[in-house]
Amino acid sequence: MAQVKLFGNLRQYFQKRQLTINGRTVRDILAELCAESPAFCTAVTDDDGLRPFIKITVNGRDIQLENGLDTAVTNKDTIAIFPPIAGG
Amino acid sequence: MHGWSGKILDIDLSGGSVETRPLDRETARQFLGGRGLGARLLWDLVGPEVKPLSPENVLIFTTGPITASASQTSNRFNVSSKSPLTGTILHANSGGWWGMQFKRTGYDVLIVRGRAKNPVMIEITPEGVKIEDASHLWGKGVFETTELLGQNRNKRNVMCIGPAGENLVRIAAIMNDGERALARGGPGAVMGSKNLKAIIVEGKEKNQPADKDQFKFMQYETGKLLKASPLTSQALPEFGTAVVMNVVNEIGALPTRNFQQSQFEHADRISGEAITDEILVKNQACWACPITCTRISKTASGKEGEGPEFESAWAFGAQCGIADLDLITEANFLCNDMGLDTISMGNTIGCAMELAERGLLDSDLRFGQAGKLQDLVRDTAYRQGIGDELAEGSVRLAANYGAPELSMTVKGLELPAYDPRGMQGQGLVYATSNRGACHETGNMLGPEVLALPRLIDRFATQGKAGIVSVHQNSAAVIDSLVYCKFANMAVAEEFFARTLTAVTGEPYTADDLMKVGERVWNMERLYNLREGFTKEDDTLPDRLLNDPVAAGPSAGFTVNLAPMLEEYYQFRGWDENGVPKEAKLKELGLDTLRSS
Repeated sequence: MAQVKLFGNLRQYFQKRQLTINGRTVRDILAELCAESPAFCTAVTDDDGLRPFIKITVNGRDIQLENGLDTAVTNKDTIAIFPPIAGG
Repeated sequence: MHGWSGKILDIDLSGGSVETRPLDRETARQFLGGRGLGARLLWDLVGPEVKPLSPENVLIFTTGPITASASQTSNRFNVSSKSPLTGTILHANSGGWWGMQFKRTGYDVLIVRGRAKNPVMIEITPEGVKIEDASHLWGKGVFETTELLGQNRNKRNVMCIGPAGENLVRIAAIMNDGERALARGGPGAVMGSKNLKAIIVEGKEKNQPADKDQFKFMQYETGKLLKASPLTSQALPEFGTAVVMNVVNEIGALPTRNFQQSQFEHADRISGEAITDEILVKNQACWACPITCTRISKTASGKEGEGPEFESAWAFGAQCGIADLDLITEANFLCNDMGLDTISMGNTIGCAMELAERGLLDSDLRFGQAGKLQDLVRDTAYRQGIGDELAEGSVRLAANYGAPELSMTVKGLELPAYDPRGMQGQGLVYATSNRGACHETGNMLGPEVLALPRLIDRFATQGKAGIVSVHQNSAAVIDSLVYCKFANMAVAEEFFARTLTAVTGEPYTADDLMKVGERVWNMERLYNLREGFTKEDDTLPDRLLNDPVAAGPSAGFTVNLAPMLEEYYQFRGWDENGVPKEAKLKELGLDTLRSS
């Protein structure tokens, strides 16, 4: 199962920082998370897909520059999901 | 006053003279204020013959045309000088209240020259300007000094140095309003060299917009944008600037143990999330700012203060291999009280840790020793023991022990919290920054990581030069108006131009502003060239150019600087040696400076 890390205020929906989830793509992973927490789903997605500034990486690579929500994942992968963040 | 008051306060501490001079209107239009105006004035006042810690160096405190107008984030101000750490142009800016209050005294600029015979302070109030004895304050920390001088947020504001500035520590900051810092490049040491302990301001004048209705409309529109953006209305208020710690770590760009690694296994323990969960008392805003990114924190031992923001948490955290958030925070508090730049302090300690681990420095200092931070910071401020060497910054420290390659600096200024091997554009920003390694002069975190305004490949090099140049010009504009860069995450330059037009009554477009930014960047470049800096100084530490990242998402990468730099010089209209061409200088109205 893939490791899924949550950051910022997304942690509140699961009371966890990290979960393990089965799925072949990032879309599958999100579907699992959405099934468990509709509030998370609302925070992360809208009718067009991901909400603005939601960032998802697979092993540190932003899925925007891969295959988006169809980016493939394996059981060895780490998926990180970030809410809108700013700073520096 | 509509934007500019048109007055420069010029104080010579050697003779005790106080003069008011007019601010040339055309110069103000060309450089706006803040960093830009500071650079232009410095060109005339401080030439290559001047040593940074001599009486001939100057401190130029500048506000901008929107300062104190009550436009959102219009609280910031700038200091310009020649840096005692780097020898380059120095510019640093800070938020809080002092900048707004100084503008209310009726001046745009304060120039401080010379050296007082004994410790003094300057007090600027509606009753006049006084230079007074400050012997009783010399040796005191920033917090006590600020309180003794009657800091009162909206009425009376104190800026001062701590023991670090008094002891000419090259990484000393000037502190305003207690815990805000003009930090980078050692301005605190310049102030200390002048025997100037503090500058207190009280003002009554107002920066009245020329077009009140348009100004109110722009305030309304700007407020809507700041509220609508999840970056400025949620992320920064909820978790502070350190909320980026985890994402920078996750992509493999968080410098760790003096840049030996690019991921820190305990990043989450020093992140914005950890600060909010474990030590946050409340968040706080600078004057006229709705964002409220400042953290007021309290550690388990009961110490309370401002911070840590991202860079400070990184500098004492990942850079030193330390995961103890309480002790990191307390090191931050102590830097504020001593008047030290947290980035350079933490970075230099990390350098010392590596020197010791490699057996080059005879010390039991090791990465991860959180318990030593307090002593190291205090010893630096007072120049005691190893602190006397840390006080010189990491370039001089590493060179002293025969390992200059272990200093993570550009042009002598310590690198901030992004490993450019995982963000190629950030490498170009560091290498070309006029004040030395700096993210604030053109941060590529937005396009390379946060998808702001859109995501680009952080490992690519082709085409980065143009994006970096635009970011640098934009940052120079914001630093000259002077706005906060976090506002720019939600508010575009077009809105700043419309607000500036409303305040000054003079028409500005976004293009006009970007041209100012380009002018400021080239002005600073000319200053450094006159100081003897060359294209050889537009580089990065060997480690970043030659040692590939060993593990993680950036594994295998170094910074491929050479092609980016070549493209950058071309894009800038500079020759192959990085010297602005005559046509570019003419276009920017800087050709007369070049020939002078």
